[in-house]
Amino acid sequence: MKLRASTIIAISIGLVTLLGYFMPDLRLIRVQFIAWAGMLAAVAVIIGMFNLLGVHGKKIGDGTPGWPYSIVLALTLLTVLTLPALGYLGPFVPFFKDWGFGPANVGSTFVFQYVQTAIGTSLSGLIVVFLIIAGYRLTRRPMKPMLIAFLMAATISLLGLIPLPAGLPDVGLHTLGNWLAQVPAVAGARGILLGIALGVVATGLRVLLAADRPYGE
Amino acid sequence: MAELLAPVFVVVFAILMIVFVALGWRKGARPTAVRDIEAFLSLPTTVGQAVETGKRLHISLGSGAVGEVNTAAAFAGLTVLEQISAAAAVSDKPPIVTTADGTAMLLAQDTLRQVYQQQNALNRYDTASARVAGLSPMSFGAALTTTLSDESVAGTVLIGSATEEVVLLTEAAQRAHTTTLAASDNPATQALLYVTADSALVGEDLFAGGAYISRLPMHVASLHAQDVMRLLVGAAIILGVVASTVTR
Amino acid sequence: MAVLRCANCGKPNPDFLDICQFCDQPLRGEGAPAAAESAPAEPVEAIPDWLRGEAAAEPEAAPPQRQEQDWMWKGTGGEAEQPAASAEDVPDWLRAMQGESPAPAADEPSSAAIPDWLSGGAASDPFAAPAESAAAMPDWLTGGTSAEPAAPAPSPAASDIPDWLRGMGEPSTEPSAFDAPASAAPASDVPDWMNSLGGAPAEPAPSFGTPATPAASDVPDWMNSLGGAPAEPVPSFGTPAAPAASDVPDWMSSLGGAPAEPAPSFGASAAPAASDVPDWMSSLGGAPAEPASPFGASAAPASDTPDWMSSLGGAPAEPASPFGASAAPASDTPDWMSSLGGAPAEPASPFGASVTPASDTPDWMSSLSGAPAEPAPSFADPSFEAPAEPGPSFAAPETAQPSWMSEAGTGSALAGETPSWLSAFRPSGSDATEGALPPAGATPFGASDEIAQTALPSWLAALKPASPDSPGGATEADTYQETVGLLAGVRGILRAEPLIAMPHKSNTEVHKLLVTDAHVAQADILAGFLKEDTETSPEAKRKARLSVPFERWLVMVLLIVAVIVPPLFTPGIFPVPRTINLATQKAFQIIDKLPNDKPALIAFDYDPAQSGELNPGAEALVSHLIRRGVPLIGVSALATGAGVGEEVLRHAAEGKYAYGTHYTNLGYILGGPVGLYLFAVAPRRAFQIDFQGTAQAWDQPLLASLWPPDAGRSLGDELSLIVLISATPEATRAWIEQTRALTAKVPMIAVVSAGAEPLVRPYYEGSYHEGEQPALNGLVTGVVGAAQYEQQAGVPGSASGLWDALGGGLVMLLVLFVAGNLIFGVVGFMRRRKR
Repeated sequence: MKLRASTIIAISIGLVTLLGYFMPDLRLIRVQFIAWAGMLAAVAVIIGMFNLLGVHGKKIGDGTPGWPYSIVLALTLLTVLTLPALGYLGPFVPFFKDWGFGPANVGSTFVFQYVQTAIGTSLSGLIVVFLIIAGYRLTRRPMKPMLIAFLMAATISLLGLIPLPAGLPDVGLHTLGNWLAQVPAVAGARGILLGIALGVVATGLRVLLAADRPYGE
Repeated sequence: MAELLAPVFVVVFAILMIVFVALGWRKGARPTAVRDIEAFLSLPTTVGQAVETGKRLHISLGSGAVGEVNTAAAFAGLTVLEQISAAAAVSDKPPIVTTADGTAMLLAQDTLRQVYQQQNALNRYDTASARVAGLSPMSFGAALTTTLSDESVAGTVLIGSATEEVVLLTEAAQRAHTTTLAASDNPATQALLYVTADSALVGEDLFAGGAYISRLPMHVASLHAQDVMRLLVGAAIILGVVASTVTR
Repeated sequence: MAVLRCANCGKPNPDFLDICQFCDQPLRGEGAPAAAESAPAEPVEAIPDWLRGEAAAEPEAAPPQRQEQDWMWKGTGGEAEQPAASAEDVPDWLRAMQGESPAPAADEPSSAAIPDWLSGGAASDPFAAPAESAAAMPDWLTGGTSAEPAAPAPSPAASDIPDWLRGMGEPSTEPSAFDAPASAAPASDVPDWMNSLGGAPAEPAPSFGTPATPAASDVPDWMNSLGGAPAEPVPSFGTPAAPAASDVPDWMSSLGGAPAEPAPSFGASAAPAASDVPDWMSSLGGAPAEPASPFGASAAPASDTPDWMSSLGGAPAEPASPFGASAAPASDTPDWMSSLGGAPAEPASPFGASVTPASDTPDWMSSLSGAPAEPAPSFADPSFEAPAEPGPSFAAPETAQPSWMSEAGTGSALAGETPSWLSAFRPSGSDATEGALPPAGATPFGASDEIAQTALPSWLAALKPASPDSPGGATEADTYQETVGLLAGVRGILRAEPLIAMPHKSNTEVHKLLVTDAHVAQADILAGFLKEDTETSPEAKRKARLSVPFERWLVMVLLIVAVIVPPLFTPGIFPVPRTINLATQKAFQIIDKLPNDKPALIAFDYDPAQSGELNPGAEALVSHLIRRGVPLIGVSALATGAGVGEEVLRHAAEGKYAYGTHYTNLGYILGGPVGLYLFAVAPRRAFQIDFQGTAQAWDQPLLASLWPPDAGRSLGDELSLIVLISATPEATRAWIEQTRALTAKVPMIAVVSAGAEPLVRPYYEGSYHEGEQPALNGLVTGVVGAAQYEQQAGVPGSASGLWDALGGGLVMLLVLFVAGNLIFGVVGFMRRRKR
C-alpha cells in the first residue's frame, strides 16, 4: 500500500484526535483540530451552494427536462442571498429603513416564514400521505412473520397514541401502547444503535488503518 | 477504571480487525461466509438493469454531513459508491450521486473520478455527476423527486444518513417505476424504509456494503470483529444485569 | 522420346525406366528390351501431341544428378549463359529462347535436368525428344519413338528442351504407354490431384472446369473454386489454333484466351471409350457422347482432353482447360506454350481422355508431340481407336513446337533441367514404350531420368475433351453432365451423391401434409415475430396523459376531513389528556422552580418541516420560562433551526421580553458535534455576531457579563437550564455527548418528536454513574407531551387547540391502516388461492 501524503495526514490527525479524548496532554491539539474541522464544514456549505448553482446552471444551458425550475431555483437563491443585504439600503431607500440586517431581517423572515416553513410543512404532510398509502399496502407483500409482527406493532402503537373519544372507556390501550413504545421498541432501537455504533467504530478504525480512504488517493 | 474502558474497547476492536484480516490471508483459507442480505443480493440486478437499459444509476449519500454524527454513514455510502459505480460507469449514462452536504459532494466527486481513472475513461467523467441536491434534508428530499424523472434513473441506491425526507424519494421512485435500495443509520428512518423502499437494510447493514459487494478483506474482517464485539457487549450487558440484580 | 519395350510383356515403357511398369521386369540388362526406338512404327494413339512431339525433338539426356528444379529459376530469356561448365544449369528451353541451340544430350549432362517437355527439339517439335535425349523423357510424355514434328517450327537446340518434354513431341508408332491395358495401369506415380479427379472412363479428356452444369460433389473444393463457367472449351497451352479443352486452369487459360468449346470433364463419357479403358474407369461414368466439364461445362465434344493434356500425346480437336474453362480454340494458347510443341491438331489429355483429331492439340503440345494426326492414346488403352486423323502422339515430333519452345530450340531450351516432379516420369531405360506409365516405384519428384514419352492411357484418352470439329459422339447413354469441378462438362460420371440421397421430389406422395387454418395462422404469427425482430419501428409517441393519482387524493381528502371536521363540528370529541406523563411532569417542575438569575439555553434543532409537531412543545416551554422571567438564549445546530428559533422566541417574547436584554438568538452553531463541543468549551469563540446581525453580540446586556473572556468558564458555568428541542435522536444525542460533561450540573430537558422519543428516553431513564443524575431531567414528547404540559401549566396553548384535529387525524390514520391492510390482504389471499 502506497502511503501518500493525504493518507499520512488523515491517519495522524485522526489518531491525535482520538487519543486526545483519553490523554489530557493532547487535548489542546484536539480542540484545535476540531476548530479547523468546523471551519472546513462552513466552507463545505458554501461549496455545496456553488455546486448547486453550477448543476442547475448546466441544466438551464443544456435544456435538460425541468430546466425552468432550475431558473426558479437560481433566482430564489440569489434573492434570498440578497435579502439580508438590503438593510444597508435603509439610509437611501425608505422602504428598507427598518429592514434590519442579517438573516433575521424583514425580508428573510418573510421568506422563511411564509415560503420555507410553508413548503416544509406541506412536504411533511405529503410524507404522511405517502406513509399511510405505503402502510396499508403492506399486506400486498408476501406474508412473513416479521411483516405480521410489524403490522401488529404499528396497530397497537397507533391505538396507544389515539386520544380516546369522550365516553369510550380506557381498555388499557394507552398503557399497552406506551409499554410497546418504551420497552420492546426501545430495546430493539438500542440494539440497532449498538450495532450502528460498532459499525461507526469499525468505519473509523478502517480510516485510521488506511483501509478505507474516502478522501481519495 | 471507567475512563480506560473506551480506549481498551477501541484497541481490542482494532486488534480483532487485524487478526481477522491476517487469518484471511493464510494459505488455504476458506472464503469467509457471510449471511445473505437480500438487499445486496438484488443490487447487481439493479445495477445491471441500469446499464442495460441505458439509464442511470442514482446513488445517494443521504442528507448527512461529513464531520457530524453521520460521518460514518457517509463513508459507508462512499464505499458502496466506489464499488457499484465501477460497474455502472460503463452505462451510456454514468451514475449520478446526490448529497446534501458540500464535503460529501467533494468526496463523491473524487471517488467517481478515481473510478473513471482506473477504467481509463477519465474523458467520460463529469463533475456534475456528483451534486448537492439540497442544503437541508427536506429540500434534499424534494429535489430528488424530480431528479429521478429528469435524469432517466433506472434505480436508486441510498446509503447514508437520512430522515423522513427519504419517503419523498421512495415515493418518486415508485411513480417512476424504479427500484430503490436504501439504508440509514437512523432506526426511525429504517422503519420508514422498510415500508416504502423495495429493499431496505436494517440495523448496521449499511456498513456492510464493502464486505458484501466486493468482499473487501478489511471490510469482511470488520464484520467479524463487529460480531465478536457485539457478543462481548451483549455478554457484558447480561453480566451487568445479573450482577446488579444480585447485588440489590 | 524413346521408349523401351519390355521383353517380357512387350509393352512400351519410358526409356528412363529401369523396370517395366506393367510386369515389373527389368527393362535393361539381359532381359532388357530392345533399344529405344526413336520413332515408333505405329502412330501413337493416346499420347498428346505435345507429349508426342518430344520424341521428334532431339532428346537430351539429363544427368540424373541435375537439380530438376533449376529450370524454373533460370533466366527466362535473353542471352543464355553457356559456360562450358555451367551450360548444364541453363534449361534448354531457356537456352532455346536465347537463341542457342540446346546442348546435345550426350554432351551436356545439364540438359538432363531440363524437363524434356521443355527441352524437346527446336527444329521440328520441341516436344519431340531427340534420339539422344529420348531416354530422358518419360514414355508417357514422349509418347513413343516417332519424332516427326507436326509442323516445322523453329527448332531450338535440342539441348534446350528437356528430354522429357522433348519426348512428348515425338510421334511414336509404338503403342503408347497409355494404351496399356487398363488393368496394367497402376498409375502409382500419378499425382494425387489427378487421382482425386476420379479416374475417367474412356471418354475424352476431362476439362478442369466449365461450370455450366451443377457441380460435382466429389470434386475437390480447390478445383471447384477454380472452375469458371465458360461454356466453351478453353485453350490448352501452346495450342493457338486448336480449340481448347475446357479443363484448362484459369490461370492457364488466361494466358491463352478463352476456349471455344467446353471441355470435357474427367468423368465425362462424351467420347467413345477405347476398348482398353480400365473397368474401374469405365464404370465411373459410362461413355457419354459428349465430354462434360467437372465444373458444369456444357456438353463438350468428344474431345474433352485438356489442351495441355491433349498436346502431350494426343490431338484432341478441342483443347481443354484443366480448370473449367470451356473449350476454346487453340488460338487461346499462350505463346510460350505454343512454342513448346507447335499446335497439334488434337491435343489430348495424358490421362486417358479419348483423343480426338489432332486439331485439338495446343500448338505447343503439338510441336512437342510431332504427329498430330494420331489421337493421343489413353493410358490404359493401347488399342485406342484412333480417329480418322491420327493425332499426334506423345512421341510424335511432327507437330509444331510451341513458339516458346521453338525459340528455345528443339528440346534445347528446356533441356537443361527437369523438375523433380516431372523427372520421376523419366524412364530408366532407353526404350520407351508408347503410352507406358512410369513404374510403380517411380515418383515424379525424385527421378532423375529423363521423361520418356509414352502412350496416353485409354482412360485418360477417354477424358479428352471433345473438339468442336470432331464428329458427334456416340449417343449418350446417360444424360447427366457434371457441372462443377474438374469433371465439369463430363458426362457419364458417377454422381457424388447417389440419386436417392439427392433432394428431389418423390413421384409418389407418401405423406400429405395437412395444413389447417390454425397452422397457417400460427405460422403467420411466427413469421410476424421473426419479422418484427428485424424490423425497427420508431418509438411510439405516447400521448401526454393527465394521470390523476386517485388513491393519493382520496387519502388526502379523508385526512383533511378527519382533521377539519372534529375541531369545527365536534369540538371536544377528543378530550385533552388528564394524565400527565411523568417525564413531562418533571420538565414542568424543573422550569417551575428555576431561578431567573441565569439564562436558559434553548437549542432549536429542528427544521421548519417539523415545526408543526415541535412548535407546540417549544412554545409551551418558552412561554413558561418567560412567565418565570428567565432570560433566554437561543441557538441551533441546524442552519434552518435558527430561523425557527427566531420565530418561536419572537412570538413568545412579543410584548414581554426585549431583544438583547431579556432574550437573544445567537443563531447557527457551525460544525455539528464539533461545533457543539467548541461552544461548550468556549462559547464566545463559537459566535461573533448573533442571528440578527448584531456586530458585537457579546456586548449586549444579556451576554456582556456571561462567559467573560479569559475567565475560563465553560458553558455550564453560566446557565440555569438547557432545553433541547429536536426532531431526531441524533441531534439530542450530539448535545448530550458533546456538552454534558461540561454541563453536568445544569438540568437538561428535551422536547422531541414522537418518533425520536424511544431513542431519547434512555437518556432520561439512565445515568452514566451510580447516584448521578441522568443526562435528561425531563422529556416532552410531541404534541401529546405539549398538551400535557399545557394542562400541567394550566395555560392552554397551541397544543390544546390542535388536540381535536390530532385525534381525528390519528383515528383516520388507524382506520386507513387497518382497513387497507385487511382489504389488500384478503384480495391477495384470494388471488394466491386462485393460482
